[in-house]
Amino acid sequence: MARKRSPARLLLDTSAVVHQLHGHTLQQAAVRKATTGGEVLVPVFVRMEYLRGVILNLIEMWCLIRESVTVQDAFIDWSQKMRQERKLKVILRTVPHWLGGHEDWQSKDVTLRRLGDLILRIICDFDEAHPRPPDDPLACVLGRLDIPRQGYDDDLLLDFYQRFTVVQEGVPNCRLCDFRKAQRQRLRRGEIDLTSPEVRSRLASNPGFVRQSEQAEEAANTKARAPSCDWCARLGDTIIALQVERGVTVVTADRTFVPLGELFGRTVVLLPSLAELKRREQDA
Amino acid sequence: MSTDIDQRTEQPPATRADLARQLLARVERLALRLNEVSLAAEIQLLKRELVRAHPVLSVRPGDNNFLSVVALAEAALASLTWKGYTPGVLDALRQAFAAGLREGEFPFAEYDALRRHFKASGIPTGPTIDLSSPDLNEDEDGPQA
Repeated sequence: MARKRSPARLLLDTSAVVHQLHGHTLQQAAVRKATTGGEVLVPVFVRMEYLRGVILNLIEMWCLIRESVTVQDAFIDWSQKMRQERKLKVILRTVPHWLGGHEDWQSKDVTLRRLGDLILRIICDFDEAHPRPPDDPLACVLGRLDIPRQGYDDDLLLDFYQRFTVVQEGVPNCRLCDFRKAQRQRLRRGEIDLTSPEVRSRLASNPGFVRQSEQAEEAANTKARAPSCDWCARLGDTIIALQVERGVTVVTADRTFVPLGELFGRTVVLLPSLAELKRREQDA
Repeated sequence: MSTDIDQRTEQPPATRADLARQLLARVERLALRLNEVSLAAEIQLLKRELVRAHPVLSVRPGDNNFLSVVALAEAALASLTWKGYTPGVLDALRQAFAAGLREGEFPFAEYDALRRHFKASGIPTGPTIDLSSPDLNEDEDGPQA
């Protein structure tokens, strides 16, 4: 009797999840194609990055609208914030543009309600798309935070924001330090040096990787021994790549994972850009 | 001849059921114009009607979840161009607005079922985010969320 092959195990990173849930139809199709027939894994850590990157920022935007004289003022101030923090700029730019396309978007009350409902909706969409995360070696506290499923209330947003930032700014009750210790041993055993000048120079054309390498060096040299969410924010890609088990493929839109996959011996499927997908569609 | 829509232009709906009837009448007008350029004008009228629903519903706690249905419908309309309207989209809108016809408090579970239905029907209810946008400067963090 032929042995039944187990399905491929595919880990989606945060960029792949954004493509899957919010991407252009071609990007959504590309994720479907990359994951067809496989077992899709979305770690708790990825949910944390999604909450921190998308949800928390949108709640800040919601608060900014509420505290501004006009919605337009809030959007202008928001765009200035984007210039300062380049991270996540696409998400931060897309949502005001989308809200501004609604009827009567200048009305503060109406726009606040639309944005508030959007925030709650996209958390639900994430959890319905990925209801069962794999075991979490980090026991990430932020990644397990949730918003009660109930009728819309402004306080749902504010309470979530408060709970999230309290954990972020304190010492989380997680296993980051155990994870760090175990991974350092693993890398040492495998003679893998993420921070060596040779690796950094060879991969200098990948700025995302170089940044991860620099952060990893800083983490290796730190004297601090308490876990901090700040390290997870700075070393997110590396932490995701390190928790990929043998035999699991990473599906991502982030080029940083290509060298990380090479170094850690993991297969990486890089999702094409939208421009590339459109080119392919035209050529077909 | 007086219709629900004519009545709306005279005065705001007195109840959620009145509002739901007006919205349903608007959807029926969309159905008659699918794939015609005149559909765009009907879409604008429906959007205007939906905006007007906010102050009507927001003052009544029992209608709070129906206001979320209105926001859901607005999100769908904001995510589609006129060419994106299909019988499936209209059916989802009909189902959403018809839920408002019943008397009494509008339950969260009903809104949540409609949200799932829109999702299952492939109707977008949020912005499209392109992390690979050429405008994204990758010199800091790369396209990670």
